[in-house]
Amino acid sequence: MFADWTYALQDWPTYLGAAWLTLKLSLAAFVLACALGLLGALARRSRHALVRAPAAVYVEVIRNTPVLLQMFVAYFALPSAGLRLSPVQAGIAALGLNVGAYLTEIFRAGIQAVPRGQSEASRVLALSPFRTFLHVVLPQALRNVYPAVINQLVQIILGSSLLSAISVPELTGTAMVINSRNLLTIQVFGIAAVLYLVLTNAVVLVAELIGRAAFKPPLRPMRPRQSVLAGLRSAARRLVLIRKEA
Amino acid sequence: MITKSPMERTPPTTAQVALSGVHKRFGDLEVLKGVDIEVGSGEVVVLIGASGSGKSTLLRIMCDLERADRGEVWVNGVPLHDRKRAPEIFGHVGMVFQQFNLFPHRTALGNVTLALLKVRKISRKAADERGREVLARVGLADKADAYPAQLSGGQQQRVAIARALAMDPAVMFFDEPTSALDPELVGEVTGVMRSLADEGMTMVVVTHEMRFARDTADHVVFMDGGVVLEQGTPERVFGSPAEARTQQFLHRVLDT
Repeated sequence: MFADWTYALQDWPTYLGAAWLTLKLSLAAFVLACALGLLGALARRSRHALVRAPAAVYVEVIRNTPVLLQMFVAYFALPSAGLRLSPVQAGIAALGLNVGAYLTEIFRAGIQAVPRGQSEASRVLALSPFRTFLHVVLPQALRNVYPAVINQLVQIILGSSLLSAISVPELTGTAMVINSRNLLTIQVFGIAAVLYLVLTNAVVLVAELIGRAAFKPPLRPMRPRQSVLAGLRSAARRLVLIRKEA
Repeated sequence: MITKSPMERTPPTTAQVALSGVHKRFGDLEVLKGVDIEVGSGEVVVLIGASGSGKSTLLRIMCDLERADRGEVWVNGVPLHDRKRAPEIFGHVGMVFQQFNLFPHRTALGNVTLALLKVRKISRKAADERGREVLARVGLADKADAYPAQLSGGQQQRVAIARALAMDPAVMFFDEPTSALDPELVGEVTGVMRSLADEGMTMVVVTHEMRFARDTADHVVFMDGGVVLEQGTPERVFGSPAEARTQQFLHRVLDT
């Protein structure tokens, strides 16, 4: 049993390489998704129906079709339309487009939640609509939606596992390859799961630190909860108290 | 002599704010039914009246946050009824809102300097200097680095007044500036407003603070049902109101 684990762990450079690829392509997809989401949100709030309509179609089509299918379109169908992408490129494009649709709605809600009075005050101060958006509305909107946006980043990291279907050598796909070689199913997918946990938690932690530094006045911690250690300590204290009472 | 179109005419009076025949409707609701008001330079005009009488709408028309359906609106020589020229008024009038509308992500100083930096495009150093100056004027020199959420309602409203003052407005509009405040905080805001009036600021104030109206206004306008029902000096309007509706209203608000 123990030998199985050591044997499985011999492939550690391959796991780490795959996890690194997962992280890289997830971040790339996230940047794309944020750009699309912001543009989409602006388009959906436009006064012109001709701008609103394509954004609405984008959101509805993406949110109502499977992401796996979108990946197949990006990788298998686009070449026949003359656009040949590498598996990683297609993966980034598909994931970015997919999450961009969700971010469109998230950003839109965040912008809408900024009170009208903010724009009115800006207008009387002679700030142009663009400057009002940039300096007044957007910072508040981003603050409103920051936790939801980070949640989407986690979704991207987890969703990137589907890219194994278009032969991207990311973490899940790599685990499958290793598994077919050594057949240590529990160990291989266990290692992959642990790496996903480490990846997502690290990303959320970094995002929280960035959020705390970026937003003024500072955001409250996104997940107000005890640290594991403090939790154990208070649990232990409670146990001692219960014993004493008994 | 060439006859100018109404749009190009110069203001009909030398008044800082001049409205004539202003109508405004929101859907089926006719909010303003022909209002004429003039505010001379350095004058403090207080609009009073029951809620729904059209006071706030009138004030919002004066700073182009709403547009009149009919009538002429001249503010500081800018014809707000001319859609092309109306935006000229921005940056030259100050507006103080009932809900403060401070920018929550910027400090008091950041609120005050935003338009100086981005509209006037003056240097950060000059903007900060000017910002601290106006914050001192509203008695908040020591709160420059506080965020709105860290300030009391009265302090927030004074920051909002400072933010408007920073742009050197020709006219200041106040839309129920003390209505969202705890009663014990009203005084600090009306105090600042009084000192502005003493310094000769042209002001149009919508308020339910009858004491402020009585001892600071040069002119009180009583609005009812979308028209100016009665106007005059505070002594006249408060002392011997001619209209039954005015008497009724004053009776109600002064008793409580």
